[in-house]
Amino acid sequence: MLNKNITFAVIFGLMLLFSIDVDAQWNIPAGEKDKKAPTEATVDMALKGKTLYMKNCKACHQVPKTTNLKPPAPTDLGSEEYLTSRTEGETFFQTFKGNGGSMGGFEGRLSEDEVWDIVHYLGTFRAGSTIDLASVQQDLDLKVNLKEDGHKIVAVATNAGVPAGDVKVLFSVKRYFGNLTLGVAKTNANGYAAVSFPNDLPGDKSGNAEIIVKFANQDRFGKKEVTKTVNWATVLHVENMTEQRAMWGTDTPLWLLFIYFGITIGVWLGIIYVVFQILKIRKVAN
Amino acid sequence: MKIKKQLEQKDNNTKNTRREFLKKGVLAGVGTILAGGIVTSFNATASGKTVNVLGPDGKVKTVAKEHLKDIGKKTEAQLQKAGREGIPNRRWVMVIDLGKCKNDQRCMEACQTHHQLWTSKDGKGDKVQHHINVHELKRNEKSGGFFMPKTCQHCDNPPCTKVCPVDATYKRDDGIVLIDNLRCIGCRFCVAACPYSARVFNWHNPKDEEKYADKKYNVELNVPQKRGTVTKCVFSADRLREGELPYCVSACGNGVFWFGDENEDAVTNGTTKETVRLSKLLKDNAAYTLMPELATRPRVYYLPEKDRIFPFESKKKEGDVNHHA
Amino acid sequence: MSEKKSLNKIVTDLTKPIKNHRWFMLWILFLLSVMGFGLFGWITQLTEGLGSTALTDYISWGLYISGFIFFVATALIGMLISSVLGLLGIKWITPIARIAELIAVGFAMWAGLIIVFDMGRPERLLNVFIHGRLQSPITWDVTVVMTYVTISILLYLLPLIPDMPFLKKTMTDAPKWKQKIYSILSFGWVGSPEQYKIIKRSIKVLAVLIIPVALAIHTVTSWLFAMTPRIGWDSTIFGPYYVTGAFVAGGAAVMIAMYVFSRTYNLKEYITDFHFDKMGKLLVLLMLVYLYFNINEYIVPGYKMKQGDDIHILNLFVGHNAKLFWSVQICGMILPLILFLFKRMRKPLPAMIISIAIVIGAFFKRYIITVPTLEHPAFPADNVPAEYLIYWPNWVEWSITMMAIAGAILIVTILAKLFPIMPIWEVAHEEGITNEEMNEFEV
Repeated sequence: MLNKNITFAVIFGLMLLFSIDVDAQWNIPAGEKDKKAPTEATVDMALKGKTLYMKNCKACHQVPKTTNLKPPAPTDLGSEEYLTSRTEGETFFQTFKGNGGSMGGFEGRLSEDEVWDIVHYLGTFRAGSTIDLASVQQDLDLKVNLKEDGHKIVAVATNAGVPAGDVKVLFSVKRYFGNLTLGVAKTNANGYAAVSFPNDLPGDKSGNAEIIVKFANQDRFGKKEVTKTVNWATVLHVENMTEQRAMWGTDTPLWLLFIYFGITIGVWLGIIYVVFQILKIRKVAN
Repeated sequence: MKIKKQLEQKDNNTKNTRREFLKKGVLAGVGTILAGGIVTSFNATASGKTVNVLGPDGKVKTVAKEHLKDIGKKTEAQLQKAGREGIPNRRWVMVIDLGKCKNDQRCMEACQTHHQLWTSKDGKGDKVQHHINVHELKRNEKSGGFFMPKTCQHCDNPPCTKVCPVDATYKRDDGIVLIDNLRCIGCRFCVAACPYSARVFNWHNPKDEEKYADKKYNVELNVPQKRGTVTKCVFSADRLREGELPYCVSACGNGVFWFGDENEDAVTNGTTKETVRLSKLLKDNAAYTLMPELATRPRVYYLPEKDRIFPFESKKKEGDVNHHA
Repeated sequence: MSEKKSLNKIVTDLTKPIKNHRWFMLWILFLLSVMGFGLFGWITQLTEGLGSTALTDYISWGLYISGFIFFVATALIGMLISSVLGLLGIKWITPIARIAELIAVGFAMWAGLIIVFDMGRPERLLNVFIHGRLQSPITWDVTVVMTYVTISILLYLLPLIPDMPFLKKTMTDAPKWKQKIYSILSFGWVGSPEQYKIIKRSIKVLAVLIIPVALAIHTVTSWLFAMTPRIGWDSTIFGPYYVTGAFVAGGAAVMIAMYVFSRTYNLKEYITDFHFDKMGKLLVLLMLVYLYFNINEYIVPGYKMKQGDDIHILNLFVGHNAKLFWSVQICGMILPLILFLFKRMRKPLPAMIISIAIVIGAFFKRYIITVPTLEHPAFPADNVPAEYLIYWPNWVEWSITMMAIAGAILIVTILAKLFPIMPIWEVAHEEGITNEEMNEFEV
């Protein structure tokens, strides 16, 4: 309990620090403060903003409202302290232009609309926000069939037994540090969506790969996820480079081994011969 | 107490420029505070007050737990054996997108923290060690400058392991070039042979030596460091074993680093965690390697800095010479 | 040449200096105090680590490594004089061959030690034998230095054997331990024809054996540099370039030793102006070859001025290393070469003075080969203190290097006090004295 308190105290202290100092280095032009979004925020925009946030902002700012700050710890953009001290326009400006320091502007990387989407997403954390992201959440069912013909992965989305059309499904394959997207397909009227497994993607030593199918927009359609192993990947051939007795390797190339010991033994035989000759001197004294 | 100290430090720092403050004061301060917090909450599991469990990746806790557990389980001999054998069927590769680097140097900080290296903030700042360094370069007089993070290139034809007399530095099947500081004799031939200046030496007692005194040596982390031995980037082999991206890669906030397994043809971005096909990334972006004329065949690829996302601001003074780009 | 000397005179002249101890203890004391200071430096380095030197991550090789090449280089002269010239049947080397061999032994032994001073973990030296990788030039270097020291000691020892009976007979008032050494090292020498045959054959075997070993020792040393892809070191002629440079350094060292011994040991009748003249001419030849290699080494990259090479060459020619570079090139090679063309300069005193310039030049030439290359890393030294690219050895390095030099001279001094500086029997042979006469020698 005590530990928790200390942690809280520390983090609160940090926030305090940052709210003072980070503020000080922002130079926001007067007109920007009252700038408004071109359109009213919608759930769709906020969801889009969430996706963009996770990709572009999370690495530094973390998931909003979580306290696992990291050094150097930038502001928690979902915190009361932040949101009550900023207008939408200021957040937009900060995101779009950056501060020339640690916070780089996203101008050129994200469009104005996209930045507004992020602002809308952050707006959902404001006290009294009318947008409730959870309200639109459905819980669709997801099944996956594999078609050997053409190496097709077919996803079937249903809502309480009824085919769900117009739902984006994300197909990916498991890699060591994350999932590699194979494709995103929209379900048709029958709830079907499919992508082909590429014919040049490496798998393990027997050509197996694990595929993961889920809804592209999990906030809307649910977190259902199907994992399957397919044998459609290319077979991995591993050549162990350390086995080649290379000049840079641990094991000496054979030719070098022969040369070294040949020369060394040869020379030392000569030396030993001379030593024996010296010892012979006494014997032949007469 | 800690907060008070922090506030005092803040006061001292307000005299400096804000950028200085952000870079020096806060970074150091946050590190101290977090270290304090974590050590307090981990008292039960980690008796030693470890700094190397600190992560700038925001996953301080988990890494520490796993790390401590893992190291705790294995004997030094097992660690050495695993360190020689490598991670089976993998061939690690790094891709660095020069267009995204703005010299935040978070990669350097993370690396120095985890590998027990002297930083410019320690003491008088006269003993600085980098496994990863961010250079400021220009391809020629007329082209614009750019920042280039440079790790060990983990060459497939490494000039450094070639010259090591005792097999202390060696290349494993998963592509990583490591250094075993229990065996290194400190002749520094590898330092002389490396054309990328990627190797540094422990000239002095390592930083925080007493804190690491009773730690088991993990060759995949190359910690505890030892005086009189060479140290270098090891692609954070200890992290890779746990399925985590290297310290520098996950510390970057600008999406500069991609890291992955060539055998899987996939690399994952340390910032966005996006995974793409390695072959396509290299093909589409005119990837190149450093000093290809030496045929060292690096495992680190660079994507040219065309379409920079940040304006380039030189930190160099007039008259500084770049020897190579 | 001068009148024939009697055997009695030869024995007296050559054994007298090793009985005479005037100044000897003082000189030894001086050497020991220099070494004591070096020892202090080494203890400092051992307690504080290599951080107590001026070396950095960029300039990671400095005075120790240049000192190592210098020592190996100087040691190489033993092979040239006693082996190559000996096998060619050149007669004037008889009185100076042992001096050359002494220098070879002293400097080769300390070359091995100076490498240990450069190691970050000297206590792990045995790893080279336990985990030795044959792909590394260092492994070859260790092998070949040990072999060279062994052969050099044998080449010093073998011609001593026939001298031992003379020492036993004349040094009757020497301490017991000395007598004992003479007795053991005589290996029962009585001067029988078979014994002469064995000695001559063994010397010949060693003389042939040492040629490839000596070439190897310095070629491998040059490979410590040439086997790396570094500008300034990445050169195909480094092997022969080093070898010829070594002969120059060693030849000059022998010249200095000749002067010192002929004066302090009162042997002007044996090491005459003629020998200085000959050595001077030999040095001219060696320096011409060395100059030729220098021209190739610097003009070829200097003409093309490729990227990287240009910085290195300009730094040496006109940059901040230019003073040192031109000093060693002119004072250590070109000027001595020209001076030695004049007969008057090949007289003992001027020859000795010129040789000192050559040796000092040779020492700093090694420095010029080692350090400036490291001052130009391929990537700029960013985010490190500016001092990381500036190097000049500090007192720790100087004191340890001085200890090595004093140590090598100490070995030479002690051996030259224990045994005659020239082979009595060979000098006697030259004077037409037969084996029988020598066997019957009595005081």
